[in-house]
Amino acid sequence: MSRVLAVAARDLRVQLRTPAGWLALAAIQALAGLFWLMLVDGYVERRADLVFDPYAAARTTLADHLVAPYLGNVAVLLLVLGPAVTMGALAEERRTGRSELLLTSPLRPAELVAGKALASLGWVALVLAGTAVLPLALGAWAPVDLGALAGGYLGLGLLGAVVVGVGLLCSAVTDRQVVALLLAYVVLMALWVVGWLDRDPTSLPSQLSLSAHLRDLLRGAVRRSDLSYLLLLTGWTLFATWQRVRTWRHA
Amino acid sequence: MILLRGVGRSYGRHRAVEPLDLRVEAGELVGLLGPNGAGKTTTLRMIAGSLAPSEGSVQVAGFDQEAQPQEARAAVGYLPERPPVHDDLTVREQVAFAARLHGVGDAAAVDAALTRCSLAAVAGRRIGHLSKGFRQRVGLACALVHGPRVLVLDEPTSGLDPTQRAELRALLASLAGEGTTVLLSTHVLSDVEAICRRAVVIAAGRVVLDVPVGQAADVVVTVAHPDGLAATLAALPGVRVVEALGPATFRVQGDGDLRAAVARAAVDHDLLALDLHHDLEAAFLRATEAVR
Repeated sequence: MSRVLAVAARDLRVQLRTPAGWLALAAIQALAGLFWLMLVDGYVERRADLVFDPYAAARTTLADHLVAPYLGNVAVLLLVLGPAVTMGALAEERRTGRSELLLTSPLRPAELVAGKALASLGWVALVLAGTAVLPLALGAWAPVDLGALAGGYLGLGLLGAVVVGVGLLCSAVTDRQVVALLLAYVVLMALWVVGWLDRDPTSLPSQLSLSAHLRDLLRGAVRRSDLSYLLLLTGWTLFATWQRVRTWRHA
Repeated sequence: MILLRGVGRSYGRHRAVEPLDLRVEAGELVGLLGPNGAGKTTTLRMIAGSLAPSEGSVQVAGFDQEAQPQEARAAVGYLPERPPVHDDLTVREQVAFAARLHGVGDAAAVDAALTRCSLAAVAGRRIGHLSKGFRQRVGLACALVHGPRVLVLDEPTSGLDPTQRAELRALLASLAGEGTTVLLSTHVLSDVEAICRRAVVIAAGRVVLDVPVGQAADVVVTVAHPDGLAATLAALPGVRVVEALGPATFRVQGDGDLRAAVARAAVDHDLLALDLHHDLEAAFLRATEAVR
């Protein structure tokens, strides 16, 4: 375990020491803030339009019309900027020859992948903590459903884990960061849009779709099938990454 | 101790290392030489454990790299040609990271490695701001920090100035003196002549020469009566070339220590002088010429 933590601590330290790491964090916070302002503005306008509607409060809940769309935007930001963080995690180790230190130490391939995943998840946790400030602050003026918000952030955390898993797998199959980045985008985008082929929740495209499984989670509705999908996808990508790293010595 | 038995390596269809046998005893300091592309780095990586052999077995300090990888890697320290260090870490952070990979959490071990590699003064500096020579030392400190019984170094003196090179030579000699097995690959023959007890030359993936360094020498002999001596010398075991340098002076080239055999043969021709030309370069060129 100490070797896993050593790898995770080093990677997180480097991520937070380099301009790229901070820029990615700052970009997400800035964009999330911008989306939040736009959504609040739209929400206020909608409530104003429905000022004479006795059912306005029920038809425009904060959870459905402000928090859930905001979390959806944060999810897209994670999809776009997450792979930028993971792209070099393994590819850059090989390109620069730093993998020699890892491969000639008693560090096992599974420990290396776990350490890398932990570091990237640490970055995801920082991102989510930063973006949670805005909806939490809203609680000072309006009744925010904290349970739904927690469910939404559980979904975002699991989406972050999927992004990390896919990103690490793509970073393990090549020693070029840009190739790893593009591969991760292709895989994540395919998983995101595949559900658009058939909106029926029981159809195969919807069952495979990342966006379909996140839809209800971001509204705070935690279902076992959605959690299982996200956890299995994360587990499978990390397993495949481990298998790939095991072949490095035989390449 | 390092023990290679029939170790070979292929990259796809390309044969990088033909099956080779090599034994380096505990505390021995051996230089691995060879032209570019000879298979030196591949061989060192297989010993260090970052590359699996296609065939054969590698033992390090008594542990098999495939059957007991954890134990074998714990016993070996490896410095690749390009030091495996991170530019965004400080020297101390990098060496501490290498230590933790080996399960060494002791700050004293890190301090000792930094001191031994003359890095204490730059311990807080970022590696990206250091010269090539210092980066090389950081890589060496990472290889040493867990106190390995076997040290494998790939071109450790490249990029070092003469002072740094002398310091590194002294460090390696002292490590060998403490019982650490050291195998280093280099293109600098003077490094091997200065500190190694043995030189192994690899060419085209095969060991083509394995000699004690002091004995990689040509013997020059002068006699009073040279008639028939050239043929006698040429017939000696291990002799490959007998070259006439003058009417009664011959240069004898071959494998191993030829002094005693040449002297015995020359006595019958009234030996006047026998001289040794320590010429590792000539031995290297001869050994690699055959496989070019």
